[in-house]
Amino acid sequence: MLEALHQGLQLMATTTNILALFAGMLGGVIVGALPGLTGAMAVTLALPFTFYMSPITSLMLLLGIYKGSMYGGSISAILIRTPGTAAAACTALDGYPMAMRGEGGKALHMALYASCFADMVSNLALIFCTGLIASFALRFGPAEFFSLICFSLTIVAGLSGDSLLKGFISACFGLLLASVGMDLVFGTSRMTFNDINLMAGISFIPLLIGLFAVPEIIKAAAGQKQVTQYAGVKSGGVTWADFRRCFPSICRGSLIGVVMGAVPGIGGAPAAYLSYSEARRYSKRGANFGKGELEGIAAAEAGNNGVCGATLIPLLSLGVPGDIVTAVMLGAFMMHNITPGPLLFQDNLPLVYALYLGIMLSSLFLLIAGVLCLRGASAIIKAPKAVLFPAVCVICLFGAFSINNNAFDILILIGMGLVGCYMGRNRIAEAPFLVAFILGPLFEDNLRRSLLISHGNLSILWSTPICWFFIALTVFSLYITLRKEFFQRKKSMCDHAPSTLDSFNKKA
Amino acid sequence: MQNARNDLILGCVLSLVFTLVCFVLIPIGIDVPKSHDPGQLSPAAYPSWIAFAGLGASLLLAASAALRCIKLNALTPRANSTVKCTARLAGMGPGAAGFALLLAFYLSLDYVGMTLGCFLLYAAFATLCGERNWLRLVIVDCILSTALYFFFVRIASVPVPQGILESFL
Repeated sequence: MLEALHQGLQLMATTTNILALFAGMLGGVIVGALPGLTGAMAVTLALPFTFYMSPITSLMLLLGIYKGSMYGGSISAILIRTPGTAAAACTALDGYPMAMRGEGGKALHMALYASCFADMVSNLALIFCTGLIASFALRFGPAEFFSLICFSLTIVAGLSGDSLLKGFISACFGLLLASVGMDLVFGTSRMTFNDINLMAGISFIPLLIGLFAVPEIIKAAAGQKQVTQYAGVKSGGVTWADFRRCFPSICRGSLIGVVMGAVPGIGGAPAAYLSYSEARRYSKRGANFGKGELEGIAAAEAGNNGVCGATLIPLLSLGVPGDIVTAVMLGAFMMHNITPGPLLFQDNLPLVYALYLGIMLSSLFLLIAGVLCLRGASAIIKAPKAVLFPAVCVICLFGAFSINNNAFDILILIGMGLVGCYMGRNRIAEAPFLVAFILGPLFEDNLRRSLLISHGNLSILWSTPICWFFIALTVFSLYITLRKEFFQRKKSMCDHAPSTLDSFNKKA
Repeated sequence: MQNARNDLILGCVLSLVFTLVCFVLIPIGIDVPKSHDPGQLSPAAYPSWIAFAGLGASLLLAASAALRCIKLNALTPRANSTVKCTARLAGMGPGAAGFALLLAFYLSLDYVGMTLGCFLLYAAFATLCGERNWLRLVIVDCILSTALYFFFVRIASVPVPQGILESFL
């Protein structure tokens, strides 16, 4: 084993590998920060270039891009409310209000530290708990998945803002929109009205950009946007006290990210929202979430980046890619005649160790690349709004088009922009809509697959201990949230009633 | 009072939308097979559940807002809503212009092309946002359009429609 470790160190410790990792990380942060450009797209674009590289160099480059893009999404989410990635949409909930208050620098730094810490936890989980987590992830069938998604959907209650009812309606709208496209069981079309553009469903990235970025751009055009005084990125650092306060949420988020990342097919966005929701539930400042709370940013980013290392667990141990990026990375392995899975640990142990060393180094490089990019970000926030928002609009349009190379996605972006404006005007939270849209297909697919397996017998949904565990968590989570909501409403009614009566008496 | 009234209107609008989905869009837009295994849920089942849940929640929102309106009507005198409404409509003008610009960009995409379209859209949006430094506008516009063209078309090989510039680019 020590010999293999030594060989792995020799394999990894070359200038080319370290440069590839750092370049990938820097490129990933920049790509992640650009609206519409996803980590998956960047990794796919880089794949042909890796053909001429050694296996470890190519994997370092792809890994750097993947991790960098995961973090990069938070920069544009915080500064201009334009999430570069789906997972970063959760960061925008608290990041943007902080930037509006002039604490953009603090928000960006907290996002970076939380991301680096969660990434490190995720890497350690990958190195030390691969076997354990992989065997747990293997026990997930459709029924277990369904119960996990049910639990994840309870996030909606915590993200509803002022009104639980409006949050529920927003989620219903998201679930409904996610059901557009082809039916997976029968292969028939659903609400596509024979339009070929809708056959594959509604694209997520144009929807995300439309919902978050377009209303901000329109506000800027309408002159409703206040000229905000952003603090300099360098000056607005995070204090030790801030970090210590957010530390429990970061740890919780990292663990949520690790567990959700290890289960194939979940991805970073649900992990970020679940981490955010749990942080809100346990935080003393839960009422400030959504209004610019540093802990909210820390939780969202920890959940999001905690997924990175963990998605490699099923890939390395079982040969099963957890998401699109790891699927592309599987392609990179195959290109170099390496087959991930249990045999990888027998046949290519030095390569595995080299990969582990590179992965550990990536957390440090993420910190360096993040700090370098934050210096560049200060230029963005100093730009006049008449220059910045039209530029964001144009980048968003290019980004939306490039997702599927389809102009229809631009129409979706505009349509969702209208919906976003309407939701903002009527104080309907966008987050439940987004969570439901992400989880909707998983929810429906796993429900229908479970029912197919059991020939319509509903008892399959509570047939295993994992199902019971998540059902119990769902019930508990709903009970706690509804109870909190009930008491808050009661308290606000008690506070408002005397003032209303007073004003009435004065007028009388 | 205004909030309650807005919620009432919102509840009614959403109820209407979900009713439309339940009784028009789902029956017309989803092909349901004539017979299937009991384990196979009909393709229309899941969207119908969601739409009915949404409809129920919207009706509840409208009803609770109506109740609040009735209660508050009894307590507070009626405010002059016409002035507020006019001011609100006046504020919507530039926003509507922004959406009109985006729609015009989409409709003219095939003819004008993405690069030139974005160049024109940037100029129009910047003017709408209050940019009056024309030199800066032109410089930023040129740099941005060129950078986007090189990144998406040359590096990422995205088949962006070039419209009338097809033969030049």
